[in-house]
Amino acid sequence: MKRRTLLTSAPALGAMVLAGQASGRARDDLARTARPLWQAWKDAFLASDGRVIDTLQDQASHSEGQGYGMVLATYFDDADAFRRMFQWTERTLAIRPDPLLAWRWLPGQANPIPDRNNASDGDLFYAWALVRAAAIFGERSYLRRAQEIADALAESCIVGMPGNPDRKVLLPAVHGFSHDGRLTINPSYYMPLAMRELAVATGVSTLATCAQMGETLLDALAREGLVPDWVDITAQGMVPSEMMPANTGYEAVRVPLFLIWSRLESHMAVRRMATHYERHLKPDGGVPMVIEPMSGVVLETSDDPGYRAVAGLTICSSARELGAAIPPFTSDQPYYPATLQLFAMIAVQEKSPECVPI
Amino acid sequence: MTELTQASLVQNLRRVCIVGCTCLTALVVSVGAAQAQSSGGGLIVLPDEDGLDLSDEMEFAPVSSRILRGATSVEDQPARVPRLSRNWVTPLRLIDMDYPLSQGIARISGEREMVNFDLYTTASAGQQILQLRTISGINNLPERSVIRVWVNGEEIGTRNLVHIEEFGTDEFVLPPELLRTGRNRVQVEFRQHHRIFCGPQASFDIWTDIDLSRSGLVVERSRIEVGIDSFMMGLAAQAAGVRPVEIRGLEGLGSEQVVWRDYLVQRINQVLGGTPVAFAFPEYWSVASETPDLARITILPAAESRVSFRTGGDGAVVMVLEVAQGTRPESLLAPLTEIAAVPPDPLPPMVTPQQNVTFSSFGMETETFSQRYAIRSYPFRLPNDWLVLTSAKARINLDYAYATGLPRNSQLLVKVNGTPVRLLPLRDEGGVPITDFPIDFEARLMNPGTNILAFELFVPGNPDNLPCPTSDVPFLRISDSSTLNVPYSPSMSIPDMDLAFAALTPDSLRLNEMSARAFSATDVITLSAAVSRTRSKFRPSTLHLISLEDLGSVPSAHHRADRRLLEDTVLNTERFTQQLIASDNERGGPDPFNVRREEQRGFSVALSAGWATLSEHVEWLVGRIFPHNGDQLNRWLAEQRGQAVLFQLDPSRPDEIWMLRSPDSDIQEIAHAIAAARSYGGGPRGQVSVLDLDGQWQSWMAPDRRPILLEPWSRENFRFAMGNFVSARPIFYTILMLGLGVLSALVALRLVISTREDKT
Repeated sequence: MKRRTLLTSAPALGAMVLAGQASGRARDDLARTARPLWQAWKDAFLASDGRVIDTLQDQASHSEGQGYGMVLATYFDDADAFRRMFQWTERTLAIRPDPLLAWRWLPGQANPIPDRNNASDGDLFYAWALVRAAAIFGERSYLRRAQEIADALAESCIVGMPGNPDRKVLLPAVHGFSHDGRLTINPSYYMPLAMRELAVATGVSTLATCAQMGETLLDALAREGLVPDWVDITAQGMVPSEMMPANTGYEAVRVPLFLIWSRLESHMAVRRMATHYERHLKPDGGVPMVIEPMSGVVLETSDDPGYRAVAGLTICSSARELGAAIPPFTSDQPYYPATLQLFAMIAVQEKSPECVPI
Repeated sequence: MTELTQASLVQNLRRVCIVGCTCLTALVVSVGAAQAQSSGGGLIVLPDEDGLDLSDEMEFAPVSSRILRGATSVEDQPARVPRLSRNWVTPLRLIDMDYPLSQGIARISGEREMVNFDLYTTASAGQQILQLRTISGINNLPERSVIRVWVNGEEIGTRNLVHIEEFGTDEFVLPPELLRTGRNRVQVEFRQHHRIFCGPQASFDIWTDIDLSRSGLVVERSRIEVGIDSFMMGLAAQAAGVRPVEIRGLEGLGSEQVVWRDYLVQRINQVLGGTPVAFAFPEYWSVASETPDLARITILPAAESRVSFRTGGDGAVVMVLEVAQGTRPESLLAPLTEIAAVPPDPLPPMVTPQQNVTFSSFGMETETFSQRYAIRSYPFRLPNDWLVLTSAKARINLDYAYATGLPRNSQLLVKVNGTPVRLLPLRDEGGVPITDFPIDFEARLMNPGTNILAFELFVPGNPDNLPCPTSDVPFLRISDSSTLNVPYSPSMSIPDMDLAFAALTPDSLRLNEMSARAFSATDVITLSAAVSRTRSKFRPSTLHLISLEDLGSVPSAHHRADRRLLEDTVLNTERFTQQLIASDNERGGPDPFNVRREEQRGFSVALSAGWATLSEHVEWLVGRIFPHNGDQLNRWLAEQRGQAVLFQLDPSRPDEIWMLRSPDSDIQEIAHAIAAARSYGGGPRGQVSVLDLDGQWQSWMAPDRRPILLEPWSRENFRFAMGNFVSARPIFYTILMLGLGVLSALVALRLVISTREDKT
């Protein structure tokens, strides 16, 4: 048995406690009123050993899913679920020589982790969840692990833009997204609230700087059209990704959600997406999920309530109206939209209370 | 994709620098402090790293493996419940409440029944298909059993009842312009034939169930224009199924939530009519149910009050009430005439005593019967202060005709409030109208308030062991020119819960601190909905909702109701016993308290039986002379089992009723029975009334209850009022008169003797 000893960072934890108090009331409300939703999510997607299962992707697990689940657990005051997810993640995904996590675990394979690359959004949410847990559950040990990850993210995944090294961008992973003077980034990996809270708690200011520049980057993208899933950055500027999908799709659906959650509901990316949703969302139709970013042509829709929840929240937040067309939660949908639906609920509860479901 | 312009880049960089510097300053302080104190932190242990044995050599897959989302199409996913209602079925709403209704399914028995429904729709719906989802009993002969459908008086088609083993759907194409926005009238005639036998008994054995939640107008959701009409349509659809109507966000109104809740519950029930609507009051955030909502109400606290209709995330039409503090519901909803201005349900027609009142004047049309068994009921009202306890006769002058050559033993039974008053054999004189046929019956069978006149027809099969021949030739016709004459009554009343029951309103419900043990908040709201259609406003009444533990609080005056028998009435039901057995099995043994209870019950019954045997004759005699109702009540109670019991034992509190319910009862069934009784009569009467497991009210009337004269004595009313008093307690008054006679005789004798005494 290998054990690590860590030191806790008390002042940073104190800062998080203060930050936690600000959202404490919202968290209490959630824990009280929305407990059945959390229970339904856990029943559907959380194994007893703490593995978050992406049912649609061959029952795989991701660092992203573990991070998402652990963030949810902190909002629902579920220390036990948090601990189980944490332990499984440390045991299974923390296998890299650096503090970051392997991005995917595939069940039923001789080598369940064939790709030992990381995913920076998974690492970000994982570290953010640890920071929150340290404050909420009073478990100071979580903070040091968050510190390690924050340091590693800043060191390995935050790089300067081609042609402008002072402008920092968040790479999707340590390996594979920087080549020939071209960076490939995923705009939905930017979660400004998480980056800032992690920066404050760990002192890794690069994360906060990167969040700020990310907002600017998203703004620039949204001025031209809908924010795509992936984009390449060259010395000449941003261009459609060559090796990854350049449509606005299942990745980019998180962009307006994370911005609203970060209290940036007036952001151009939110307004742009809200306008599109208003135009194309029908009561008896699916939610536009794959869209050509410039023309707005809808290429694919989805019936999953989680995506409709994000759409409802986006419209409501942008229009600043009362009540949102957010459907009831169901676990009878894949892990990803189900999780986004709970995120949307948290975003409403914390940042846009006027957007409760009608 | 375009490049960032140089200008915007520079501008953005400046902003980043400023913000970044500020953040850095703050964070450096924070980190410094953190590092300074980190040495004081505790040691922690991380989980084992024993999950994998991987080499240190890093392996990386192509980044294209990251393309996860949407890589698997929706079609590849396992089958799931529908997310949104692509089509609505705006369902039929049963108006005739005398058909059994359970879980949204109504049962229609008999050879020929005409059933009335309401159907809500909007002008924009644009749909033209009416569907009926039915299943028929195995005895139905599908080749000859049919349904005929009329919409707003126009016949739209006939279908055979072919769905025997499982529910099936029949569709009817509606002519254009037939439907109107709002409420439409749909009539469905069920003609059912037994596949083997013919006759009244065969008629009892044929039935068809209609699934109301899935029978109605098929509406494309995309064609529904969101507004008050589609909201009402969705509401009616929601209420017709087994799902309650949701009202979200009441909690946000704080102290005003009760006012809003009661108002909305009452209004919606008044608007929709029929079976009481069930409600639920969930949080804003909820887990989806199997069937998506079609309509609901969401309340949002706001700075200014307003009403809007919007589409919810699940496709439901939502009435969004933005409510500012202090807003009254009636003022906000006043502009919505569909909700705010609702006329009360019409009461059954009033029959004026001492007049020949034609059947047509109390709602009966000339009725033609062509089935082997039929029962038709016609409610009518008598004045609330009408009371006849004497043997005075009421008279029906019946105009009717029946076919020639009817089988032997064909007969028409005339009933008043369920009691047969005349059996008319249908033989010999067939083929000719019979007019003014006199049927006298005792007027005391009628009550103040709602009464029911019923005709029950029996025509045996000929032969009865073969299917009935196909024929539309009527067996019997009862003309609406027939008359009913009710005798005069002085203004009187007698202790009875019927008037208080008729006067119940949502404000009548009373709870005490123990009520919650038997009635949840939702139960109370459901009952409130059941009495929201005010039947009578002559005086306020009260319905106390009590728990078993609170039986002692029921004022019983001189009545001596055995508490254990009362408990058994609602506890010792088949359903409850099964629940106990099930829970015993789950626990792996009998409940010791229940065993003890059974022992006590057995002992009680044995003791009661022994006592009854010994004292039966004596009791009978004493009971006839001095009606002593306590034992009668207990004997009656011992035979009753039901879902709920209503009491009104104390004659000094005529406007109050106490209600007890079985722990395993369904509050929806109780509410339905209450609403049905208030609409069609046949409700609770007397001093104690039990709602039995079949949904019928069984009532006990105290033999010693005394009438009260509500007007001054006069020469005109003396004989009738005195007759009522004497009829209420005949033996008592006989003995009293006998005593007075004896006393008079003794006085007279004494006078005679005294006048003949020698006074010298």
